[in-house]
Order: sequence, then C-alpha cells, then structure tokens
Amino acid sequence: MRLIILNNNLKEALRSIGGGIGDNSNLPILKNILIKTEDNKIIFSTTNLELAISYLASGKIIEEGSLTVPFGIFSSIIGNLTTERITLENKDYNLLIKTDNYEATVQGLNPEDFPIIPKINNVDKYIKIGSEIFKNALLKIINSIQYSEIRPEINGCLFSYQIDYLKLTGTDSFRLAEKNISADQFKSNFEEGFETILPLKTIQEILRVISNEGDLSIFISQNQALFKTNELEIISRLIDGKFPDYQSIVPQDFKTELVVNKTELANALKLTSIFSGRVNEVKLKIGENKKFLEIYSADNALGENHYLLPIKTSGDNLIISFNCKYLLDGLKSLEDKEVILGLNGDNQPAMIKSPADKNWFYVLGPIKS
Amino acid sequence: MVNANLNDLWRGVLGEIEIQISRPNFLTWLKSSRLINKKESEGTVIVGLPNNFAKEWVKNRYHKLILGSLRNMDSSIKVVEYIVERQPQPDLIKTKKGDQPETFAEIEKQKPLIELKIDSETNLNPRYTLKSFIVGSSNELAYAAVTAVIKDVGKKYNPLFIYGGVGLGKTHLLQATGNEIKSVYKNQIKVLYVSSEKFLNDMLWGIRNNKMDDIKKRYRNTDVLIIDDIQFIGGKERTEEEFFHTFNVLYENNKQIIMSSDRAPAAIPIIEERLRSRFEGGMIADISYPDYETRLAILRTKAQENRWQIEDKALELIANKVKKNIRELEGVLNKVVFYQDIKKDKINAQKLEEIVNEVVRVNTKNISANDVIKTVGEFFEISPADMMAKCKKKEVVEPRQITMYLLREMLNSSYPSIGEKLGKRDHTTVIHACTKISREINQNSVLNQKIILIKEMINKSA
Repeated sequence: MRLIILNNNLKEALRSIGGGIGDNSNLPILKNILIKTEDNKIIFSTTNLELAISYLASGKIIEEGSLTVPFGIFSSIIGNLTTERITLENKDYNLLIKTDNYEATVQGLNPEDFPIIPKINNVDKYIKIGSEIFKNALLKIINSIQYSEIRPEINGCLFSYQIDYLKLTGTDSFRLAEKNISADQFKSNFEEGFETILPLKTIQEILRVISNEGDLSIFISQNQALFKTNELEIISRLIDGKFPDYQSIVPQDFKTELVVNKTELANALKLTSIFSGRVNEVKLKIGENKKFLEIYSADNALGENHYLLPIKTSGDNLIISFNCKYLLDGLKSLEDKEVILGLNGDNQPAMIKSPADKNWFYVLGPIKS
Repeated sequence: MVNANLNDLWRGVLGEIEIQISRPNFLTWLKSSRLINKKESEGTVIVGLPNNFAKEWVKNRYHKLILGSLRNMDSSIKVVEYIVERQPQPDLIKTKKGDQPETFAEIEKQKPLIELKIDSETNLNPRYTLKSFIVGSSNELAYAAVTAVIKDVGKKYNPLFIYGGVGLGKTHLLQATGNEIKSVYKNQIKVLYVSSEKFLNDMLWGIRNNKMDDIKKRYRNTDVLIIDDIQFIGGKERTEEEFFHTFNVLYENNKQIIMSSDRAPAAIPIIEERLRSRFEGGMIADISYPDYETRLAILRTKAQENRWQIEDKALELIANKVKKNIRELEGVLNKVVFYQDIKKDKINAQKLEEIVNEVVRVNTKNISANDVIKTVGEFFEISPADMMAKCKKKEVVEPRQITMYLLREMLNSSYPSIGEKLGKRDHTTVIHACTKISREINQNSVLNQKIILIKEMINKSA
C-alpha cells in the first residue's frame, strides 16, 4: 500500500473513528485502526465488536493494499504533524509515515487479523433524513438515558418507525423523553412499521462524529443498524430486549398547568438547589397567590432559601418535590423562551412541554412526599 | 436428550479448534458459540454466535475448520449455517467507580416512572445488592462464602447452606448473590431464585396438572438454584423427594445450589436423613445476631440512604435496645423518624423505649407455665416430675434452667413464682439460672438453637 493524503483529511478521519476503538484485552488488535484502499477511496476503520466506524477519505492512491497499526501512536504522530502532505506506505506489516522532513515506522499487525466489519443485508430499505434533524431529535432525548447495569433494555433509545412518523424515546425509569419526527421531514421506503433499541454509545457516536450538513441514511436489519453519510459509516448492534411500555405513565391532561420563562426557571432551580443536599430535592409551590411559583429547598444542617418566580397558571394549588437535576435536564433539551409545566398533584408524574414543539415532551416523577 | 447430544458434539468441535487457533481468537469469537439445531434430513447444522462480528469472522475464517471437525465426528453433516443468536450483550459503557451519578439508595425516594420489576426469569429482586449488605462479625462467614461462590460458581462451596434467625438478612444475602452472579457473568449463567413455598406450589401444580416434566425441566435446567427458607419442605414427602432428585441432578452437573434456613441442617425436624446429609456435605455458614457495631452501622446506612435527620445518640439508643432482628431495627428507626417528623422534636429515651416495645412486642398467645414446663420436658425427654425434684444431675439441671429462663422471658413471671412452680426453689436460684442462660445464649450457638426450637414448639402447642 502506498498513498498520499492531505493532513486535514487524515486528521478528520482519525477524529471521526476514534470512538470505535475497542477495549478488549483478549483481542489487542481492537486497539488498532485498519487502513485500506478500495475503489479509489481510502477507508479508515475501528471497531469494538459492538459498533464499527469507517471513514472514507480522499487522497492519491499509488498502490492498493491494507494495514493495521495502533490507533494511539498513529494519531499522536498525525496530531503533531504540520506539513500539508503525508505519505503512508506499508513495509511488511509496518506503517511508514513520511513527510518532507519527517519519517516514522509504526509496528503493525497482519491486516488479515482485523475483524471483518459486518455488512447489512437489506440495503434497499432505508430511511433518509437530514443529519441535523436527526441529531437535534436525539439531543432532545439523550439526557434521559442513563447507563444501568440492571436493565439493558433502557441503555439506549427506542427507535420506533411508524410510516407517518419516527419516534425516539429515552428513559432511565425516573424520567422519560419522547420526540416525534413527522414524515415530511424524512424519506423512507420501509413499508411496515417497526421498533428497535439503539445503544447509548452508538447515539453518542452519531452525535459526536456526524456533521450537521447533508443527509443521513439509516439502514436497519434484524440485529444491526447502519448510519451512513457520504464519508462515514457507523454500524452498530441493536439492543435485544423489550422497551418498557410507557404509554400509561404519560399524563394526558393536568390539574395544574403553568407557563414560565425557561431561563428564569433554570436559574431559580440552580440557586435554590444549593440547600438541597444529595438527592437534589427542591420543592415547587403554587399557593393562593397564583401569580408566583415558589421554589424552595431546605436542609436542617445547612439552611434554607426561597425563590419567587412570576408565572401564568390555571388549576389547583399544590406543593410538589422534584429532583432538581431531572428538572434541569428536561429544561436543557428545550430551545424555547418559555416552558409549560403540567402537574397532577404531588404524587403523579409531571410533564415539561414546549409551547412551540408539539412533538416533544419530558415526563418526570416527583419525589415521594 | 437431543440438546445434550448437540452440546457434546459442539464441545468436541471446540476442543479440536481450540488447539488450532490462538487463545485470544478462540475466546473472542467462539467462546459463547452454540450448536442450535441439526436437521437430520438435510445434514445441516446451525451454529449460533453472539454478534455479527463473530458471525462474519467465523464464517470467513473458521468455516473449513468447523466443517472438518464436525464431519470427523458426524459424517452425515454436510452444511454448516451461521446465525446471530439474540442474547444479552456485554456492557458498552463502563461506569467509573466513585463516579456513579446516583447510587440506588439515593434515588430510593424518587418515584420511578416505570417500576423496577422482579425479574420474571430469575425471580430476583434487583433491590437487593451485595453493596448494600452490611458485613459484621455476625455474618462475615456467610458473606465470605457467597463471595467465594460468586467467584467460582458450582465448584467451591456446593451446596452452600446459610442459616440464621428471622430478620437477620438471609434473603438479602441470597438475592444479592443471585443478582451479583447475574451481573458478573453477564447473564451467561442461569440463576433461579425460589422460596421453598414457591417450590412446593410448583410441585403441587405439576402433580395436579400432570405437568411434572415441565417443572422438573425448569428446575433442573438452571445453573444456580437458590432456595430460601428450605426448612419448610421438611415433612412434605413428595416435595422432599422431588427436591432430593433435583438436588442430585444439579449437584452431579456441578451446578451451584444455595439454600437458607432458620436453623442448621441438623436441627430441621422431620427432614429425611439422606437430604440432611446432603445439606451438610457442602459449606454451612451461619448468620447470628448482629453485634452492637453492626447494628449501628445498619442504622446509620439506613438513615443516610433516606436522608433522615436523626441524632447519633438516638441511633445508638435504638442499636442498644433492639438486638435480635434487623427488620425490627428498621421498624423502630422508621417509627422514630415518623415521630420526629410529626412532633418536630428530638426523641427522648423514654419515648424511644415505648416505640421499641410497640414494635418488638412478643406474640403473646395464652401460654401457661405448664405448657412451658411440658414442652421443655418433651424436648429433653425428661418428666416434669424430674424437673420439680431436687435432683442435680446435669441432664436435669440444664432443662430446668432453660425452663426458668423461658418462664421469665416469655411469660414475664416473677422470680419467686417461677421458683414456686419448679419445686419450691428459692428466687435467687431462678435469678442465677436466668442470667446464666441469657449470657450463654450469646456465646453458645447450640444452646441458642435449642431455645429457638423450644420456643417454636411452645408457640405451636399453645
């Protein structure tokens, strides 16, 4: 193998695939990156046997071939190179890096030993969506997903395709966020609806490496998914399991509904939570004076504080406790100036909604009084 | 038995391949593989692999090897197919130690939107973890035993028998062991937790519906069988027999068996000798009453978990008052916290005493002094007359002292009246007996067992 590649192209390739490096002590080659040439493209790949990331870079290929070297050393060298053109070539299994005034040999392994990256079998069925739309939707639910050893089926996001909409849901069993993408925002030739669960790590990689420009094609087969743009391919396993049936806990109407400025509410929560201790408990109170929401927290050993926030509200008075972090996570997913908070007494799940985006909501449970 | 044949065949193939490829490769690609099916007519076998990477790799690199060794063992095989078997995958993201955003205890108070359910396959409740099990001198042997079992399932201590009184954490330890095994071995090991009542009910159901085979399969097809409160199967002959066979099958196949009981195997009444000897064949560990420090540690953790504001002094008082039951310990703590919340005031020693008495109230049925004397007599096989007599033989003295102790403890009789009932003895003799027994009870576990048993017999007979 022998090729010349531009510094920036190579750096971008390495940045994109770094997240796929494996940590499997049985198979040291997973710490390696595979470089190979195919159809006039240079392909850089990494895998941890759960997902594989491949980046297609352009460059001048002088001689076809493939090689694999440790990612760490390779990316440290490239990161510090400033010359514009870099030559990569193999000497047996080793990699030779050359610029005008620099030369390095990196010991590699037999590229035949690098895991074969699986292909997806039904490539003619796919969903095509603007990368930015898909990423924004994921950003609105990812806050609710938290890694749990006990329940693998919620270590990811529910990806539910129902022909006229695509629904993404994340939960850690204490809160839950759902985002719908309507059919006019994507193209698809799947004729039947389906549900599957994307692993959290895969979602994080999509958000990290896929750029906002251009379209993203999503291919799904029985136990793996492929996310493909012009340069990138992320192939990932899917989580085997049944996502919890959550429809029954999503409140449909509310005894109390209030509208409040998002930034002010977030500030008030951050401020009052100073006295809220380890479970982050803050109390929200709507009393006789319905023009204000009182937010307060107290700790026997530290002290207490109260905050009055102007709101618009209708419905019953109440006092309800939340984990402040969960409330803030819900607000973070929102871009609007104002938020709607829907409540049903101090023991029922509450909902955060956006006045502008009817396709998103965030449900969270109160702290038992 | 088709399954067993497939397993044997595949084990043979793996054995052959293992020496031909490198160890890392073998571990990565073939370790969790399985022969799923064999279609005799077409000579096709189907190999299940854990993920797509393994499937691609095995298909491309090891197909010839596999087909070759399969044909060596069974020449009728012509085609090998590979599929990805749906099974739980290892973790993707490792949570750093000490960086866990919320421990389970902290979010306890937060109402989950979707309840953590008891795992229907294993019957385990994820609430019980080893992390939340507080180890003290009273239970460190049992704890050490389960950690050894977790490390070396089925080999080291098999069967593991844990016994101890009511409310000392047997169920917690058993369930936590199951959960831990499940998480350490990433669901590769099948765990089944049942109470002996559930076992009994399953048997009854199986017998009634003629589905014994299903039940047998369910219990014998597991790698770790955990049975709680095994003493209840004593005297139920058919269940005992079935359990005996299940036990043997599992034991012979090196499957782990963990049992708990409220007393040592030797002390379980009406259990068949062959079963008893099997229980005693493995590791027996006891959980005894927690010492003061452990009790205090439990209370502290509990208070911290729930963020209860409670003075150390009060915790110390509770630990001092409630000695024999962790569940009661927690009950008292709950009540104290409740009292403080309502009254907005710190608790004092007197009120605490009241609460303790309320929670720890003994089940006072109508037990007469005669019941006690009679039962102790029956237990030690001596006549009430001997007990009243002036005899000072060792065989009579101990039962007599135990009777005095029980009369004092269970009936709250006065020392003189106890003396009166047992052959007109002086009240100082009675006081001596009571202090002696209550002291020895804490040091001598045989005596402790005896007394627990006698109490139970008395309660039953009344």
